[in-house]
Amino acid sequence: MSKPWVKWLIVFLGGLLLGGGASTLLAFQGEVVPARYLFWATQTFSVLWLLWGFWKGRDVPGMKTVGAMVISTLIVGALAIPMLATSKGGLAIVMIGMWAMAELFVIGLWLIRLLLSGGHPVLGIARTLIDEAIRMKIALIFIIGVVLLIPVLPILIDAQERLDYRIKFFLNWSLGGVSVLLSLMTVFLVCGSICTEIQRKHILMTMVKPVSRIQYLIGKWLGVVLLNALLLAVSGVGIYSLTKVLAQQQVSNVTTPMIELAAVEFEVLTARESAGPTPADEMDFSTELRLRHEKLHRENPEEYGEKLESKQVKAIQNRIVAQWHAVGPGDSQTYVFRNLQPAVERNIPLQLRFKPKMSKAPDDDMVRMALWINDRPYPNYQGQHVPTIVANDNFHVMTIAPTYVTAQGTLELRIQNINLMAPEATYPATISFSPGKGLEVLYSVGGFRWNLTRSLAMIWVRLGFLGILGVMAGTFLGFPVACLLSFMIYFAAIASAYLKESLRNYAGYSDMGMNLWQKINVIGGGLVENLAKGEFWESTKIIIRFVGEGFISVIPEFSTYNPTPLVSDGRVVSMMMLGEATLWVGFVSSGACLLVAWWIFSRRELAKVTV
Amino acid sequence: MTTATSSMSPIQAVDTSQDVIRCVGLSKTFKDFWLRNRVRAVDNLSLEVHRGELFGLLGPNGSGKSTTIKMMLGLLHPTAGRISILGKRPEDVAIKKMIGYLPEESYLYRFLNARETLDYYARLFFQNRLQRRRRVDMLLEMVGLEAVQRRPVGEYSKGMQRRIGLAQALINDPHLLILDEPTTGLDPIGTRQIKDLLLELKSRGKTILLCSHLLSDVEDVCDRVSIMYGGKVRQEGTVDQLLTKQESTTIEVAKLDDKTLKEVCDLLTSRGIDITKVDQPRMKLEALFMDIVHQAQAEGVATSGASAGGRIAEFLSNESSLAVTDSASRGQILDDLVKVLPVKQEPVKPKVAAVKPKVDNSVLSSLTESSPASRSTGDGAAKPFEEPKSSTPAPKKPVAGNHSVLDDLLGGNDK
Repeated sequence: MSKPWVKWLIVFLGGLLLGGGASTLLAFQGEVVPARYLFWATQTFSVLWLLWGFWKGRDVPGMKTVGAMVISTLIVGALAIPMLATSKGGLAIVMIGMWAMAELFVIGLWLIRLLLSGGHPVLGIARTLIDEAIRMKIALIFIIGVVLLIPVLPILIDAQERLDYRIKFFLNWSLGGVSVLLSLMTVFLVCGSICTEIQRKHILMTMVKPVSRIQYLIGKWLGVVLLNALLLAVSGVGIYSLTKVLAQQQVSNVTTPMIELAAVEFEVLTARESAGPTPADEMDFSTELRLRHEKLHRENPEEYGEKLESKQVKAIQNRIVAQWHAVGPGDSQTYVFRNLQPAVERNIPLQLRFKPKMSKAPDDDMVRMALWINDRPYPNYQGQHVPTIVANDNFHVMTIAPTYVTAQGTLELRIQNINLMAPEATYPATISFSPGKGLEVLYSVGGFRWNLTRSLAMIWVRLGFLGILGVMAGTFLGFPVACLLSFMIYFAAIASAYLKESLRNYAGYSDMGMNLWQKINVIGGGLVENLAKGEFWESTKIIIRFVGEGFISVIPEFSTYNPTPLVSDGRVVSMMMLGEATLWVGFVSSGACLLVAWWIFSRRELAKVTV
Repeated sequence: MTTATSSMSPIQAVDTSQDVIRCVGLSKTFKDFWLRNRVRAVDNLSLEVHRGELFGLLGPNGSGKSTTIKMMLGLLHPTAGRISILGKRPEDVAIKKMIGYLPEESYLYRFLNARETLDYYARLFFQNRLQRRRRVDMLLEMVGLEAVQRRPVGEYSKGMQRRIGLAQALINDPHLLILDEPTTGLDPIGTRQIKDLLLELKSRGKTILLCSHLLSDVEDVCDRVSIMYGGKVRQEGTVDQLLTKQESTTIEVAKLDDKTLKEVCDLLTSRGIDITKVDQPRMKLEALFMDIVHQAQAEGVATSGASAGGRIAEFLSNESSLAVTDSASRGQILDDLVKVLPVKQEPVKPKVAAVKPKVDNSVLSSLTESSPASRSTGDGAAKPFEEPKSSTPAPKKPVAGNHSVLDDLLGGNDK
C-alpha cells in the first residue's frame, strides 16, 4: 500500500507535466491565448496543491520548516519580481537578499545538524549548543541581525556618492558589522550556555555520563565555531552578491563613467599587493641615525648619552623617516619599490598611489611635481615630460605599465618638487607623504571573491579565539562577569598595538632587547629610585606599565589580523597572513586558552555549594 | 585526565566483586566564602551496596544523602575517605558507561523535546543513530511519553519531567542505577510504575541505589536500607530486620462475626495472651486510586498528559545472561552467578512463620472453615511494569517494628 505522500507527489508531478506539456503543445500550434491560460492554471494548481500538501503533513517532523521555506519563496517571488521592473528595485533587492540569506541559513543549519549526528559526546554537546542558539532568544537576536544587516545596508548608501565609494562603504560596514555581531553572539552564547548549565545544574546530567571535562569544553567550542562558520558563509554569499549588484548600479558622474567603473574594478573589487618605498641605499638610514646621534651628543651630552634610550632612538628614526618622505622646494627625492616581480610575470599594470600634502598650498590648492620612473620622465606624451598636477591632501592613483619594472623587480621613482617653477610662485612649500600608505605601489595579485573568502576565514579564526575565551571565562565565572572578561580581552586584543605604544609612553624606562630578568632588574631599580625621591605616582606608573605589558603579551594582536579595511580598500588578504593568523590566534592563543579552561574546569566541583 | 574507552566491553570493565559501591570513612565538609569549614554534610560514612541489590538510602532533608550520591558520581570531591564504584574511582570517566543517574530534580534542557533529550544523552554514550532511535522509541513508550515526544521539555509537568529523567537514566542499560528521589512529583500511578520498574530491573540483576525520604517507597521495594541523619548512618540492615516487630503476631482472615471473634479472644485470653488490638484491615489509598484509574483507562477516557507506561524497554539487559555471553572465563561466570544469585534469591520469611504462637490447631481449623474461600486481590490482569510473579513471596511488612529512627524522621516523638 502506497503512503499518502507518494500519492500526493504523483498528483503534483502529474499535474505539472500534463499542464506544462499541454500548454507547450498549444503554444507550438499557435494557440497562444489558450496556452497562456493553461500555463497559469497549471501554476495555480501546483501552488495550491503544494500548500495543501504542507497543511496535511504539518505534523511530520521538518515539514514546518520546509513549508515555511517554500511559502516564503512564493511570497518573495510574487512581491519582488514585479518590483524589480519598477522604481522599487532597491527594496526588491533587500527582500531577495533577506530571503536568500534566510534560506541558506536554514539549509546550512540542516547540514550542520547532519554533520553532528554521529554518536560522540563532543558532537552531541556541539549540536545541543546550536539548538540552544536557535531556540533561545539571546543568540537568535544576533543571527537575525546578521541576516537583516547585509541586505538593508545598500539602501542606506547615498546614491549620489561615487560608485567605488559606495561599494567601499558597503564592504566596510557589512564586514565590520558582521564581525561585531558575531563577536557579541559568540561571547553571549558560549558564556550563557556554560554559566547557565552550571548555575541550573544541567551540567550534572551531562558530566555523570562518560564525558570527560575537556570533551565538554571542546563540544561547546565546536558548536559555536560551526555556527559562526555557517553565519559567515551566509554573510559571505550575501556580501558578495550584493557587492556585484551594487557594481552594476549607475555611476554618480555620468559624464565620466569610465573613471568610476575603473576605480571599482581596479581599486575595490580586486586583491592588491602593496610595496612601500625604500631608500636606494639601505645604509642611508643607519648612517643618518649615527650622524644625528653624534651631533645631538655633542650639543647636549647630558640628555643624549653615549648610548641612546629606545625612546630617543625611535624619535630620531621617526624624524629621519618623515624627512625622507618630504621633498623640499626645487629638490628631488628618489624612492625604490622592490619585489614587484609578480606584476611583471602576470604582465599587469601597477598603480602608484600617493597623497601629497603641502602645508602652504597655492591658491588653487594643487600640488605640482615632476616624476621620473627608472630615470625616464613620466608621464611622457609625444616626447614631452608632462608635469603632474594634482589636488593637495587627496589620494591619487597613477597607472604604470609593467614594462617600467626592472628584471630584478624594482621600480625607481624620483619626485621633484616643482612648485617654485611656476612663474607666479610665491609659495615655496615642501611636499610630504605620510609614511605607510601616503606613497606606495600596488598591483593586483588576485580577485575579489577569494579575497573576501580569505577575509571571512580570518574573521572566523578570530571568532574561534573569542569562543574559546568565552569557554574559559565560563568555567569559573558567572555569566555577566564572564562576558565582561571576554570583551575586555577581546577589545584589548583589537587595540593591542595602540595599548603597547600608550604604555611605553606612559611610564618611561628603556627595556629594549632585555630579557625578563633584566627587565625586572630595571623595573625594580626604577621603583626604588622613584620611591627614594618620594615620587610615588611615578612608581605606580612603572607597575601599571609592567602589568599592562604582561597582560598584552599573552593576548593575540587582532589589530594585525583585521581584514575589513584591507578588503574594502581592494588590498589582498594573503594566504600567508591567514596562515599566520591561524597559527598564532587559532592554535597558539586559542590552545593556551583551552588549556587554562581545562585546568580550571577539571578541578572544579560541579555540585559544590558555598555555605 | 581520564578518558572514555569505547573499546572496552561493559562486562570486562565491571569489577566482579560483591560490592558495587563501597564507601569507607567518607566525609564532606562545605566551606564558606572565606574557606572556613561550615557544614559537615557527610561524616565518616561507610557504606556497601552489593551486586544485584536494591539498596535504599533514607533520611530527612539535609541528612547528606544527595551529597553522598554526588561524591559517588564524581561531582563532589570527598574531604576524607574513599569511594569505589564498580571497583574504580568515581572520577574515572569510563566507569560512567555503566551508571545511570536520576538527580533529585530533572535538570533537563528546556529547549529540547523528549526525543531530542534522550537522543542527546544517548550520544554521550557513543551510541550510533540506529541504536539511539531504537532505544529512544522503547524508552518513550516505556515511560508513556510517546504522544508528547515533540513537545519541549520546558512545557512538561514535573511528573512528566521525572519520567523523561528516568528514561535518560536507563538509556545506556546501566549496571548500576542511582536514583535520587525518583517519585517526587509523580502521581500515584507513576509512583507505582516506578516501583514496579525498579523491582523488574532488580529481577534482571541490576544494582539500584534508591535515595528517598518517602518511606513507603523505600519500604515497598528495597532489600536493604541505610538510614542517615546528620551525615551519619544511624541504622542499616534489611527491611525485615529493621521493621519486623518480633513481639507481636498478626493473623489476617475473612471478616469474623461477633461470636467467633469473641471465641477467639476468649481462647487467646485463656492462654494468657494479651490482645492489644482487634481491628478490620483497611485497603491502602494507593490501591483504591489505582483501581479507579485502571477502570477509567479501560473505559477509554482521554488524557492530555502522560499516558500509562508501556512494557519495559527490551534493550535493558539481564545482567546474568550478558555475563554468560560476554565473559571470557567460565570460572568467572560461575563466580558471578554465585555472587549474584544468592542476593537475588534471598528468601524472605513469611511473617506468619516468624513467630510461632502456641495456639490450638482445632480453633484455627474452625476459623478457616467458617471463613469465605479467599479475599479478592484485584482483577489479576497484567499491568505495566507489574512485578513478575515470583516463587519468592513479596515481603509484606508489619506496620509496627523497630521504629525509633523512623519515628524521629517523621517527628513521631513530638506527638
